[in-house]
Amino acid sequence: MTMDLDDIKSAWQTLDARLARQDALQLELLRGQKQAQARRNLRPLLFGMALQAMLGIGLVLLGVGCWHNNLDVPGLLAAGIALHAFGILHIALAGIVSGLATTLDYALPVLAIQKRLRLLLRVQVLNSNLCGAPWWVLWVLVVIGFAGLSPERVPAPTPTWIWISLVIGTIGTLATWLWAARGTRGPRDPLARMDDGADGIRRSLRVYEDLERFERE
Amino acid sequence: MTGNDRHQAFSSVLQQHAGIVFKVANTYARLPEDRADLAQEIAAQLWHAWPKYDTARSVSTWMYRVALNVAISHVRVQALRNRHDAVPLDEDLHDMAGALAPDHESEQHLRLLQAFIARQPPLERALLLLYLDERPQREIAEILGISEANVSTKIGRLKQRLRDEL
Repeated sequence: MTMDLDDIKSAWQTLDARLARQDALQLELLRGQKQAQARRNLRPLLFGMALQAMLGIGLVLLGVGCWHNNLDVPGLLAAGIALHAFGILHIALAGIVSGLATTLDYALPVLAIQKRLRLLLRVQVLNSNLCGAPWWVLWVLVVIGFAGLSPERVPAPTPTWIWISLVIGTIGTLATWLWAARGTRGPRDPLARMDDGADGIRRSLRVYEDLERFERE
Repeated sequence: MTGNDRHQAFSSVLQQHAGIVFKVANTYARLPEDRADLAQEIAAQLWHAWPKYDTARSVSTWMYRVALNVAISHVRVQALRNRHDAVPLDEDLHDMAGALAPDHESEQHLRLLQAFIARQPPLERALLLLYLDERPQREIAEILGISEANVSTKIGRLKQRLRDEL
């Protein structure tokens, strides 16, 4: 069976007529719990970002305390500065993600929203790479940071377990980044399409792919 | 405007243009409960966006924008869920086409059209819906955020694909 454009329009109008008959029935459903849910949808993300920002403030305070107390101890000074920098990064990215998510205005044109969504997904992936993966190492820096707050002198040389943890942590961070980098290989790469649990990378790829095709064709 | 007036004005607009909500929900959701859920979500987001709506502008353009943006986001989230909870296409189409079907041929046409719609990626589906709904090209351009010339080109290609595939 083949259809010409008139048949297609006629089929669409038939569907439209049926939907019109169902309107009265379904319109009653449009009130109530969904309005509350629309406001709740963003809460988990915003709650997570608030926690990340608070963690960032903690890291900044710890880092400043550590480097300020140990201006003459290079290792502790470096650990303090690194904690300070990571703290600022945690706060800044939490602010950017929250800002992008809360200013998503669905009344804007469809392509503008899709581009905004793609940007949000990219920043979220960047956030997990810059603020999540380095915790392989960051926990060691936190331990060093707390040691640096102590008024007593930290014993030299640096304990072996710190070095071992730093090496393992660095390898872990690099491996995590390599795994995440598969998402930048391009939409058709099978490695890029592998499930990442939270679907963040693949969702980002789908938006990218759809936008690319729509703008190209 | 008081809260009550605002609510009444919104209800009246929603009643007048409810067809947009249902058409978009029907185009992007497969199962009846999913369609009802999406229609509710669209209405909730319309209510959410209502305070910022500029009454000097076209209400249908505003409604299509919100409805399509909500529906496309919904489809992207559902895509992951559907991997694990897939519904056979035939069963789905039967459900969508079954209730009307005054004659066999129009039922077949409807099934073919719905199968074609279901195969389209989210953005192409938006264009198809607006085209079938006979919206002016200027309005389609405003809703999607592309130029009128681009809309014209895309509709030309879409018509060709409809002819080729249906």
